[in-house]
Amino acid sequence: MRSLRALLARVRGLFGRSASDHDIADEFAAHLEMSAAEYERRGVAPQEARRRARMDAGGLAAATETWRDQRGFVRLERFLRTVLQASRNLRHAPGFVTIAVLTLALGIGLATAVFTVADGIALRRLPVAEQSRIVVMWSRTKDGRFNQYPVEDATDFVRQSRAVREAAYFAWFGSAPIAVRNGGQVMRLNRAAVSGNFFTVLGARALLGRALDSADDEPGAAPVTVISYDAWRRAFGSARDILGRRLPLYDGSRTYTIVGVMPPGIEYPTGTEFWAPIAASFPEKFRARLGFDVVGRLAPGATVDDAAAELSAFFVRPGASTYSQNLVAVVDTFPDLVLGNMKPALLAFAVAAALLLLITCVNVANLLLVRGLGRVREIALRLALGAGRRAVVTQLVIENLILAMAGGLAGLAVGWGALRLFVAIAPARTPRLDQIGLDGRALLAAVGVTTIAMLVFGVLPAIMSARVNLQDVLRTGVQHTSSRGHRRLAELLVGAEVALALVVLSAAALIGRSLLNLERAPLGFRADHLLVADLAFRADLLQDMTATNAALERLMPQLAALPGIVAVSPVVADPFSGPAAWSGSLATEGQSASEGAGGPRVNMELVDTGYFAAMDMPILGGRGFTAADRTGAPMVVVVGDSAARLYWPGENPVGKRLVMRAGQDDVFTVVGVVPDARYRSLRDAMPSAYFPLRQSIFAAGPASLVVRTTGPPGDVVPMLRRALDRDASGVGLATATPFTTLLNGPLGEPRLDAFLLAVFAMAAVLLCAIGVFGVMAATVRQRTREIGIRTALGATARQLMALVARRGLSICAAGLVVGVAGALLANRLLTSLLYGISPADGVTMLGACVLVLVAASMAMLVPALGAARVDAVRALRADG
Amino acid sequence: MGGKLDIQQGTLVLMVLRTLDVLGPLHGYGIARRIEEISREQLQLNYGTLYPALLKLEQEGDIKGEWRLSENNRRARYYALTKAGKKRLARERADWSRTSAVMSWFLAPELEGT
Repeated sequence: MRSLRALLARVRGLFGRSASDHDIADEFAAHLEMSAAEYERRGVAPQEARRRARMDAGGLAAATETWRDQRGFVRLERFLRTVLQASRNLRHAPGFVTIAVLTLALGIGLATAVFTVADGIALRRLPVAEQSRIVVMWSRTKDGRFNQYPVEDATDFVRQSRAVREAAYFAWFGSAPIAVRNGGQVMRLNRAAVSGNFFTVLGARALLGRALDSADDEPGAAPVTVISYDAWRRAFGSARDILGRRLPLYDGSRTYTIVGVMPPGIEYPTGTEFWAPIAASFPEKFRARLGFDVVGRLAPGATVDDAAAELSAFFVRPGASTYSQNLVAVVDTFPDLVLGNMKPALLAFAVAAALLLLITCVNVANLLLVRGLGRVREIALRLALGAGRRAVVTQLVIENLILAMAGGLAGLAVGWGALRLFVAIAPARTPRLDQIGLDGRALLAAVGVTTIAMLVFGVLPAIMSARVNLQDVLRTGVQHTSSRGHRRLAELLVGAEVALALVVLSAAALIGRSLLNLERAPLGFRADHLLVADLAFRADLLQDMTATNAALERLMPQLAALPGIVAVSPVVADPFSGPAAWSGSLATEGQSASEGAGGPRVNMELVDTGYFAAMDMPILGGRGFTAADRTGAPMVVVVGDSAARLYWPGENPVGKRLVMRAGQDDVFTVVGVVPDARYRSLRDAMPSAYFPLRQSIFAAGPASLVVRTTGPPGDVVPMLRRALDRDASGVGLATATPFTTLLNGPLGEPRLDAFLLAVFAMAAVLLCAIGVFGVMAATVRQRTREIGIRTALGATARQLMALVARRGLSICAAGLVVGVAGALLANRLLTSLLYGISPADGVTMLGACVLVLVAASMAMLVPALGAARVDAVRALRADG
Repeated sequence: MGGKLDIQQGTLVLMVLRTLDVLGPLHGYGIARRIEEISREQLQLNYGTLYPALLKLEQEGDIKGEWRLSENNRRARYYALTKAGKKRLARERADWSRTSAVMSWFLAPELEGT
């Protein structure tokens, strides 16, 4: 209570100075008079009385100060005064402040935004328990092919394993699209078939409803399913009443009941939109033949390597099949699998963000040094006039803190904007980007780092040079004696900035050129006016593959005759579905079994006569398929260019013969050659073989159509759907997408990478130019006197500009040399992101050097022109 | 040892309160003189010691100051004890008696060396 009252009194003292009747000077005066009067009364002479009174009273100034201290928060008052003074100082240097705040905003904002994205994708937790303890256990054959193992092996292994505590398994092909009816709509959703304890092992809880449990996977259990967050939002419109809804498969084979929605971030196996128990997904007899992958939780204390060693030992256990003996264990942690493929890019961004922050620090340090140069005299003068060193330092610190705060706030704005932008242009499948908010810790860290740099470079040099050269500075009035070291440091920093900018710029250029290479890479077919339509089949009307293929064969001429459609064909593989979708090792006629099996994997495709026309693939040799290529006729195959070169290098492939597997009866005669297509993977044109639908020997068949249109591809969709419905043969249209839209998938990430790095590079070069400008301008200012003398002695403007430029260019050159070395090292990080370009590409490096040099030269231009315009008389008269 | 004593932290407050208690409202000079006299000139109070202490007591509500004319018609700031100040004096006076008793036991000659 007492202290509260005292505090209030002090606060009043702080603000209510004028209102207060309490002036200490009056009180002291009264005291002095009374004391003097007392002495006089005792017979001391008036003057002497006053003197004694004053002596008794002690130092007046100190007393007033102590009293004021007691009266209000003098420290606070003094602090506020310093803040005012500091901001006044800053107001007098608007150019410096603008550049410094812009620099900080760019650096802090971009670095924070990118860190946030990287953190959100790579470092954040998945919605599972102890994510790094979850392992996925694969097997691989010795020649590197992935394989799956039968469910008995999986359960046996887990039962006897000491490294793995509990394990769940899922159908080896991961999640596969399957047609479902959702209300009146037919759509394809990715289904993963998992064991009942899948979510128990992951330690994942449902967002709504419940997760699957072991009881759901018992034979005869009611078929239930849980859907992904993404599917819930996109396919079901985030419906609150989702639980209990029915999800029938389009083929009518079964109907799931939705019992839960899983949290975002757990779409595993990758891309899963709904999880169903294995028992409720496959018929009994099919289940026995199915292969599985295993996901397990490590036992306490066990490592990933322990699990791998155990699994390897399990494969070669006594009594294991020869098939099993041939397997190698591959164990990955769950986070690696779910987040894995984003890692190289994220690492590149993290490095780029760190570099940008470093450039920012260097740049601000530089600006501060340069500003410090101009203030040595001011500071020395203040010190000489009796200002406490502490007061001077406090003011410098506060100036820098104000700048840092302004920079931090502006950085927050830039970071927020940049993050919105990143999210807007990120590829749709980027994991969990929609849940990202600017990371507070990252922002604090960025602001902290820059603030420390600012304090170090803004305060220390100024104080040190002012101390050492106090007398010099004041006596001679020449400041450059003290500041030569300063300038050296500033030049060193600018050189470093040039080097760092070059590293970032060359990385951005490499990524940019990779993107161009990727976008320009010949597809092998024409992507425009091409529609990819996913089909759905009714199991009740189309009992088996033969019936389905026959229906497709019958439908093709009808569809091709529709207006606006040029050509149409069924196709097996989805675009960009990767090499694993449908591939095998073929053998040339006469090869032994081992030779054939050791041959390259070839993408296989089952198509109808209209395929090459629909894809607009030129026939390079021989012919395409005709209606005559049907069951009973000689078996034929069309091969891609690189497959032809692989099997028969230097020979004409037409007329050569291929077999499915060495020693098999079915022999295919090559009738045509087409270009390699980047249909399965945009990055690689893989060897491929096309088989005619009408003589299919395969157990599976096409489930999509490729349609070449005359107009925009989307326009034919309603007509196509009507035609299929009218035919009522059990073939329906699920979803249809223009190929150009599908291209956004594989191009999305490279585009994001290129865009982000381009933003970084621009910021880095801009900051670098600012740095060069700052230090060169300071140099010119310092050398005004020298330049004046030279002018007086007859130096031309051109010579003066050269004088300035030479200095600047030699700094840049040194920076570039270091930068090239750094870039050659750093760009190796990018290798896995590059396409068709080497990380040490000479042209890119040269281009980046030239660009940095041009930017730096432009930044030098203004100070150089300034040097040329120095007025000799004024310069010589000035003391600076 | 011939110089003036330094005022011990805490004792000044007690002296000021006691002075005002005995003499009634008084200005700073009067308080200083009174304390110096009572201490038989062993203590000397300068501005830097006295006035901040007065201000602190006033802020804490133990005394109240107001400008008045002095006996010889000078304007001076008179301080008077408040109710809270009276209570504080009683409390601190008791505390001080006990403290000084304890101190005197400690410093008594027969305790030395034991």
